[in-house]
Amino acid sequence: MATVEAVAASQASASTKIAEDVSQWTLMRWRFARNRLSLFGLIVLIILYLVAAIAPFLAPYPYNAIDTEYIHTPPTPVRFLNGQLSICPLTQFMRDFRWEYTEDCDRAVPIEFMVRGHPYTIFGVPFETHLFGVTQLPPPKTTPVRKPEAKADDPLAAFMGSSGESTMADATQPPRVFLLGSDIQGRDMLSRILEGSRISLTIGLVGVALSVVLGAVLGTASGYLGGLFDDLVQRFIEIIQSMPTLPLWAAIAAALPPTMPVPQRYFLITIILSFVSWTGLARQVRGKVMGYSSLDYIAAARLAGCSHMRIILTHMLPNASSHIIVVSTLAVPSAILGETALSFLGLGMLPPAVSWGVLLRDAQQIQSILLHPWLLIPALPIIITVTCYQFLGDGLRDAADPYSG
Amino acid sequence: MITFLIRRLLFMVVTVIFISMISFVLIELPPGSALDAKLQQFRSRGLNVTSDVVKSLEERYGINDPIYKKYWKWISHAVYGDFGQSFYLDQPVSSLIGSRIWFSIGMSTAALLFAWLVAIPVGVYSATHRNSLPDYLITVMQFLGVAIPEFLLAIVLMFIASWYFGVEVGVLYSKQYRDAPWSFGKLLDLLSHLWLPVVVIGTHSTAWLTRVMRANLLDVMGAQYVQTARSKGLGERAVVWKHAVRNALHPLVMALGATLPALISGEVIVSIVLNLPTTGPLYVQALINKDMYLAITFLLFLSILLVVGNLLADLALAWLDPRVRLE
Amino acid sequence: MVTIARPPSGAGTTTAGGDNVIDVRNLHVEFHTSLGTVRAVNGVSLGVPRGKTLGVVGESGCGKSVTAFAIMQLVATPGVITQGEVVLHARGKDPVNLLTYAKGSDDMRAVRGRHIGMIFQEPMTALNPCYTIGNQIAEAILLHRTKDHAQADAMTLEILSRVGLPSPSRLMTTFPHQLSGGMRQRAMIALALSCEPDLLLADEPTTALDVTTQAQILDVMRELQEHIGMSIMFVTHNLGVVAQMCDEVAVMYLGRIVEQASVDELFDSPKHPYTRALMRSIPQLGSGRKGRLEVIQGSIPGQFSKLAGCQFHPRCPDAMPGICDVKSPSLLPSGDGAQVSCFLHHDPSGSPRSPEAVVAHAQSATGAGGATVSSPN
Repeated sequence: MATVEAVAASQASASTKIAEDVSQWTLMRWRFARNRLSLFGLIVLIILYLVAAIAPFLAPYPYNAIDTEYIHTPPTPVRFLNGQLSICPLTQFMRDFRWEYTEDCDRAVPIEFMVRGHPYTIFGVPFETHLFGVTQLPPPKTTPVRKPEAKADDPLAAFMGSSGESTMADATQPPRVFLLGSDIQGRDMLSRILEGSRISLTIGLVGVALSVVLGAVLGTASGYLGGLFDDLVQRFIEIIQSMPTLPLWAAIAAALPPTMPVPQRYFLITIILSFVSWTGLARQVRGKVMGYSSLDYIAAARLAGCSHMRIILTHMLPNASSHIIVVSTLAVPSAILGETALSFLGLGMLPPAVSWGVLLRDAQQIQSILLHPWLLIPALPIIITVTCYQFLGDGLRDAADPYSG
Repeated sequence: MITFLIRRLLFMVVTVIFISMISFVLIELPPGSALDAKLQQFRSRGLNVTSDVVKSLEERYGINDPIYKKYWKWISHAVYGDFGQSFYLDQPVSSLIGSRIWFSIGMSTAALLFAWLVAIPVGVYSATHRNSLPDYLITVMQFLGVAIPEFLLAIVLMFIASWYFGVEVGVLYSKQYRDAPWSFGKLLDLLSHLWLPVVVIGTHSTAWLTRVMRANLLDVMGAQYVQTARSKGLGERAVVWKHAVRNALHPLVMALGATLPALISGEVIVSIVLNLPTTGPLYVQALINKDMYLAITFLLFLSILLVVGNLLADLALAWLDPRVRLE
Repeated sequence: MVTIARPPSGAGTTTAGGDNVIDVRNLHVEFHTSLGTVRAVNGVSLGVPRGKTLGVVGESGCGKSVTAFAIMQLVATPGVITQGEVVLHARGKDPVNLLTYAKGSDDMRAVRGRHIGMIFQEPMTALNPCYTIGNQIAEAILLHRTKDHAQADAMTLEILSRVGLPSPSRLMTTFPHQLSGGMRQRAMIALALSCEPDLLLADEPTTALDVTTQAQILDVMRELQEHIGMSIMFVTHNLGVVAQMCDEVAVMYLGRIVEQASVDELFDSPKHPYTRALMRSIPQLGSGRKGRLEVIQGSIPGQFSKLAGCQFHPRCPDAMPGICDVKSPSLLPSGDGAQVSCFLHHDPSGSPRSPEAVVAHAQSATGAGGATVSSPN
C-alpha cells in the first residue's frame, strides 16, 4: 500500500503541472475516454436512442398493422436473387392446427430502399419514406406451390391436411417482409420492437430523472439540515427500502385503471418506478453532503456569511454532481428492467401500447416459444441496453472516482 | 450485544407496523374493490343483484368505512392470525397464504445460499487472477447475469430444461409423488424440481454479488494489513482467504439488504413464469382482481421476510466485524 | 517539527560494507502502468550494518519505501524488480541473494517475518480489523517459531509486554480498533519483532503519530534493537528522526542514492547539493524569525520524464552545464568513508576532486544567491 501511495503521490505531484489549468470535468472525460468498454457502451446507447427517434422510418410497417394471412410467420429469409436482395412470397397453409408457410422463390420480389410507405411523423414532421420495403407485386404463379406431404399415418392429415390454404399467391398486395418474424396477429416484430424501443428506452430514463430530482432535493436537505427532518426522511427511506421492490411496484401499478390512455399511463409508470429508486439516491447524496459539511471550505463559506442556499447550490451540489450522475446512470438499468417486468406481468404498459416487456408477454407460454422462438427476440435489445448502461455507469464511476473499487 | 438485539427487534416491530399501514393504504386507496368484481360475477351468472343486496354486502365488508377504520379492523384481527377473507376465492387469507409463504421463504433462502456459494469463490478467483482470460469471461457473465431479466432467464432455462433434459417444469413433484406421503424419495424429487427455479432466482444476485466481491477484494488486497500479513511470511492462500476475504465480506453482508428485495422480487416473477405454487402467482392475481386483503397480506409478509432478513444480515455483520459490535 | 538533537557521542561510524546484515546492490524496480514505465528505484545500492540503524531519507516518491518493499519482494503490482541483488546475511546462515527466490516461494516466505520484519507508516490500517492483536501476533509465531498454540500465546504475551503496552494479557483479546494510534504502532512493532528478526524494515513508522508518541515509539525500537541485536532500516523523510535514531544515512533522490554517510558526517558536512538543500530546509531553533525558510527550488520532474545526466541538475544550484546535464554521476567514495554521487566531488572520469575546489565552487554558488550558476570550468 505504501508503495502504491508513494507512486500515487508522485503521480499526483507530477500531474499537478498538467492538471493545474484543467477542470475536474475534463479530467473525468480523459479518464472516461480511456475506458474502452464504457465508451463502447456509450456509443451503442447513442445509436439505440437515435434508432428509437427515427423508429417509424426504419420500420417497414405500422407497428399495429394486423394481417391474418401472416400469423406467426418466421423471420423472412433475405436472398440474393437476380442481382438483388430479394424475398420470396409465402404461401400460408394449416397443418396440425398450426399455420405453416412455404416459399416460392421463382416469384421473388426485390427489397427496395427508401420506398414510400405508410405515412408517419417524426417530431411532428410528416414523412412517407421508409428505409426499406417491398412494393412490387410478384409475377403471376407459373408452377403450383409444392406443399409438404402429409404423413399417411397422421390421423389429422385427412382432416386438416390441405384445407386452409390461402390464396395469398394471387394476392393483389406485395408480399410482406418480416425480418424478425410476425406475431399472433401477423404484426411485424421488427416494427413492433422499434416502436417498443421508444417506451422502453425512455421510461426508465424519465423515471430515474424524476428520482434524481426527488433524491437530490431530499438527500441534500436531509444531510444539510440534519436533526428531526433528517430522522424523518431516513426512517421513511428505511421503510420504503424494507419493502420488496417488484411487489411494491406491482401493488401501486395495479391501482392504475386498465382503460387509462397510453401517455397518462406512461407518465404514472415513471412515477411508480421513481417511487422506489429515489431512496437509494437520496441516501448517497445525503452521505456526500454530510461529508462535505465537515470540510474546511464549507466552513469557510459559512464563515464568509454565505446563505444556506448558496452553500448548497454553489459549493455542495457541483461537488456531488459527478457522483449523482454516476449513481443515476447505474440506476437506469434497474428501472428499465422494472418496466419490462411490470409490463410482462400485465401491470405496466398495456396493449395497444408497445414496449419490450409487452412484446415478451407473447413469449410467456413455453409452447409458443417452442413453436415460434422469434417471439423471444425483444429480449435482445433489453439485454443490450441494460449491459451498455452498466458499462457506461461503471466507466463513469471509475472516471469520477479513480480510487474507488 | 443484548441491547443491540433488543433495539433492532423493537425497530423491526415499528417498521412492520409502518409497512402494514403503507401496504394497506397503497392497495386499499385506489377506487374499485373486489366487491365490484364479485357483483359482476353474480350478474354474469344471471343473478339479480338488487341495490339492497349491494348495500348489505357493502355493510358486511365495511366497504364504505373510512380507511383508518378499515385498517384498524384488519390489523386488530391480523395480530391474531386472522387476515380477513379473500373475496375472490372465498377463503380465509391465512389458509391461502400459509403454505405458499413457506415455499417462498425456502426458495429465496436457497437462492441466497446458491448466490453466496457461487459468488464468493468466483469473485475471489476473478480478483486474484485479474486481467486473465477467466477473469474476462467471468466479467462478461456478470454483466449478462445482471442484464438478463429474471423472467426471461426463467423462460429460457425452462425451455432448455424441458427440451434437452426432459425435466418437467412448472410442478414441484413428479406424478408418483404428487399425492404420496412425505418420504426421503419425495424430498429428493422435490429438490430435483426446485433447483431450476432456485438457480434462476439466484442468477441475478449471483452476478451482482460476484461483482461486488471482486471489487471489494481488489480494494482489500491493496490494504496495508494485507501487506502486513504477507510480511509475516504467510502464504498467498492464507493471505487471501484468512485476511482479505473476511474483510471483503463486510460490504457483501451489507449488500444483503439490497440482495434480499431482488431475491424476493425474483422469486415472485419466476414463480409466475414457472407457475409454481408460491406467493408470486397468487399475489399478482390478487392485485389484478383487487382482492385487497389477500394482496395486502402478501405484501406485508414479503416485507416481513425482508425485514427479518435484514436483521439476520445485521447480526451476521456484527459477528463478522468486531468494529460493529460496540456501536 | 522536531529540531535536531543528536546523541552527544558520535555513536559508531561504521563504514558501509564489511559486516552488513543486508546488502542491496544495483536494485531496479519499475512500475509498468498504462501511461508508461515508472523507474521507481533506479540502481540503488546500500548496506545495513549489523546491529546498527540505516536511515533512508528523501522526499515522498523518491523510491525509499519501494526499496524497503523490494527487499521483502513485496512490491505491489504493477511494480516489478527488474535487476539487482539483495543479499541477506542472517545469523548462523550462509549469505543468500533473496532475489533468486521466487516471490511467493516457501524460501522467501521463510525469510519474511522470520529474518526480516516490517512495520508501516499507518498503524491505523496495518492491523487486520477482524482479528485480535493476540491472534495476529501468534499467527506469525506459529508460522516460524513453534507449532504449539499455548507456547505461541506465551511468546505473544512476552513480546507484547516488551513493547510497553499496558496489561498485555488483555490485549490478547483486543481488536485493533479499540487501541489508539500509538498503541497500535507498538502492537505492530511487537508483531514485526515477534520472531526476533535480523533486520527490521521500518517504513516511516512515526510519520502518522504525534511528536510525543513518536519519541516513545523510537525509544521502544531502540530498546528492542539492543535486546534482540537486530539491525534497522529506517525509511523516513524526517531528518530529526534520522539524527536521533540512525548510525548511517542514505539520501535518495528520484530512485537513486545520492549520498551515503555516517550520521555525523552527513549532518556536519553534507556533500551532495541535494543533501545540503535538505539540511537548509530544516527550521532551526534560535535562527531568528526574520529569515524565510529555504526551500528546494522547482519540483520533482514527472515520473515518466527521462532526464539526461544527473537527476537533480534541473533543481541544483551548482549544476555545471555540459557535465551534469549530460553524464550521470555514480556513487563513489569521497573522503571519510562517505559516498556521494555528484560531479562536484569527482570528475566524470571518477577521480575525486580536491576539497578546495568543491568549497570554492560552493561559495561562488552561494554568492550568486543560489541561482543556477554557470560553472567556472
